[in-house]
Amino acid sequence: MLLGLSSLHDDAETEGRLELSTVATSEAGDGGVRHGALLSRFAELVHERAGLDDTRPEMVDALGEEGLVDAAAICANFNMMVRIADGTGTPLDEGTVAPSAELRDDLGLDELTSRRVAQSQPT
Amino acid sequence: MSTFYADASVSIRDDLAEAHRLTVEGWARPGNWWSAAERLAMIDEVRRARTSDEMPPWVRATTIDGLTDRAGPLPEAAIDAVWRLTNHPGTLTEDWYRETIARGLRPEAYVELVGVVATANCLDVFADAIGVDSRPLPAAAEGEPDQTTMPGVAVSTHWVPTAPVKGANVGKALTSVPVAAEAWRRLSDAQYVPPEALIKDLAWSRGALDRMQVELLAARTSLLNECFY
Repeated sequence: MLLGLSSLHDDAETEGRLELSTVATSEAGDGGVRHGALLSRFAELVHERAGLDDTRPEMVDALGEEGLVDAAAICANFNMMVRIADGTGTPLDEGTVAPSAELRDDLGLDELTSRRVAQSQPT
Repeated sequence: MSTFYADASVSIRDDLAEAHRLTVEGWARPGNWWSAAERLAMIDEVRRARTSDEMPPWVRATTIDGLTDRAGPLPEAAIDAVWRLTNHPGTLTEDWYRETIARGLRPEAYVELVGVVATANCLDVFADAIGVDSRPLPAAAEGEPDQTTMPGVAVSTHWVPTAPVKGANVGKALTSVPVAAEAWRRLSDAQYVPPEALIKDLAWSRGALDRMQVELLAARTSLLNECFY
């Protein structure tokens, strides 16, 4: 959802051009994100632990050393976050259930084993 | 410049290297529910799990001879939880959690385990991504976990007990175990977006990547791990 929101705050070059297909596969192109296909592929290779030696130079050419390091840090961070969320039974936040419905449908998220409904916060 | 990643071929910013250094140091200190030796044994199991042959999620690692360190300090329920969290996080269910607790883990001890496993996967994924070896582990520090339940901790919105704090559900997940919540926050701040900018500044950037690029990496990584949240 934050990807969608951030696209509304980006500059004229990318604003309104976001395509969620690039979240589903790197083969869908950039999806309105600068170097989107490369970043999506980098995340895939990090997940598969394969092919990174060939891709790091490409990342540095496109995004610089700092870009490679920050991309690695974000992949690392979300490998942490998924284990925290799924290991603790973290439910969707109430305020994000309705706004994320279309996104969940587009990406098939409601079919995942880890699907958990939002629960009311205790008062 | 930090020497923590002196072996890397790219320069790692100081705040990130320091957050990682403090994380490794923290693994080797007693937590709230586990000793330092037990916490380091969890890291060893994470590393065994990450490099093992693929196996179905329902197979307990401790049932396969020679796969895990069953002679080490961790109970089998903890070893199996480490492996499942590491290799199949998207398959976890509330029934699995309840079964794990029924095998003898206290809920807060389980929460601390989740924190250690999550941060260990985080640092090892980062090492893979930049092309260095996993960071070596320090010797275990002396001392015992305090094993004190925080006031107000209860099961409310998550499977696990949480502290009565406001904010996003994922931010509450580890709050029943202060040492785990602190380790998560330190890493998240250095690696992702500061909490104050998360929603209020959707154009926030460290400089190298814009916010859309950051969120694409976050979303793609979460989907690859089949994470609904």
